[in-house]
Amino acid sequence: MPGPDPTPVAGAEAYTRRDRDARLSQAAIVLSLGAAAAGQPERVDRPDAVGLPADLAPLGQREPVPLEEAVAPLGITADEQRSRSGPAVPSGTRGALMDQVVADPNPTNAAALVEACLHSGDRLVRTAAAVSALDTTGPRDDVVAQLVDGATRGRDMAKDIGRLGLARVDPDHPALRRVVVRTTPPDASDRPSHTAFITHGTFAPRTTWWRPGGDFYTYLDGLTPPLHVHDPSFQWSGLYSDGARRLAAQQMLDWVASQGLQRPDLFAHSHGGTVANLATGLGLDLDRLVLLSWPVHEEWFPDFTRVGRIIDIRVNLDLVILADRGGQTFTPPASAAGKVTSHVNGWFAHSDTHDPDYWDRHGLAAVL
Amino acid sequence: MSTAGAARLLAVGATWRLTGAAPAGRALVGGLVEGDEAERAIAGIALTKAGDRSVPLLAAALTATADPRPVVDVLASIGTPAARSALRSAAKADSPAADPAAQALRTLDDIDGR
Repeated sequence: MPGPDPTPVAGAEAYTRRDRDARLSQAAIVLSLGAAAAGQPERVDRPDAVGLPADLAPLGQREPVPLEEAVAPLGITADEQRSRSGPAVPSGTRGALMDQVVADPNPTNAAALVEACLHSGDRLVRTAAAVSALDTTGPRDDVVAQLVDGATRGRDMAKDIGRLGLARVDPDHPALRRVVVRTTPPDASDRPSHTAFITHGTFAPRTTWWRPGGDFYTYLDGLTPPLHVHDPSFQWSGLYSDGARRLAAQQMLDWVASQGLQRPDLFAHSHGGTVANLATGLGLDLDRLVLLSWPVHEEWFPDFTRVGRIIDIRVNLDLVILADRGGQTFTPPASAAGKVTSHVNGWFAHSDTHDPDYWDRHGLAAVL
Repeated sequence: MSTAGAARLLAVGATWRLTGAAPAGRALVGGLVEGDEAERAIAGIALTKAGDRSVPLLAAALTATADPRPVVDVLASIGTPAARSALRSAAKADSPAADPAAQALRTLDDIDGR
């Protein structure tokens, strides 16, 4: 269920508060200044909502503001700013600089606020400031370092914003290589969502059944009570190797956080189930884990303490599992015996377990 | 899913791994590029488990199939120096395999932690 919408905090007040609304507003302000500096003030929707002047065109720049000028109001030198070695910038300075931007909207005042926000205690605000600094004072090492920090260590929006900024200055940076799914909408963070998501198995990332609009996705999404099936689904490489599954497990962990999902249900087919199990070992918490035709390998058992319930759905003598040499019976350790229920119906066909007709024939919706 | 087709590929896969008979290999590549989801999985697993034995066959298939992506996936799953070499060659070529091969090499770099 979606959480409450954020409420913008206008002007200097955004810099005197530390709650979620204030942090989001600070990020929105600096990103707006960056867009205006780049000559795209029209990209800023409702600047007045965060206390900025309605017309941001005067903030447009032909050349970057010299860093020395931008940091002068902060009481530090350009070298100190580059190395973050100078005295701390009081949080009150950011509020005062915001007032100056409102009173006298010009590129230097805007650049000063952006530089001040690089000292924020909040990673989202620092990362947003780094994106804008690319346009106000221009790219430099400490700004890129902040983008990398946001892209690699940030969560939710900070990660997405960091990646977007990094893609502008260093599109081949390794931190961008793990982007395997479309980026999260900016409003997805902090979304308390009890929902379900789906993933595919080996050699199957280009199949459609698990994607929004696909037959199994649509089937699950239409069940009563509703599962609130998440859009998008989780895609991984689908390669057939231990390393590929371990990488995918880390990507799944990151992806669930980036999507704002809290203890979701997961429907995972084949070695997508292995990916899910490995992800629980990395710290992913799941409510219901529905394993569809999972090839049983004891070394890839889940961390049972992180899963509420496991529903194991499979056919007898699955031919793909035969090829994989996986086990066809999921027998959990005694300590987790009560968590796993197996439903074995039909024969041979590995893909049947994501077929809506198979689910209807065997009444599987009722076992969820 | 064609259960008969999947069962046939299961047997062919065993033949390929044990004997390396070329017709068996070609049948697996056929299942990989033309089969349904389960047939592709069985063919892909068999080709992957055979390792470097499958690489020349897959390298040839990269340029001979309209959609080389399943072939790229198997080469990346094999992941040996010979398989990576085939992917690098494909990535440099002017062919539909170039982009998927380059992406697969990046995935392998990620798996290796590079």
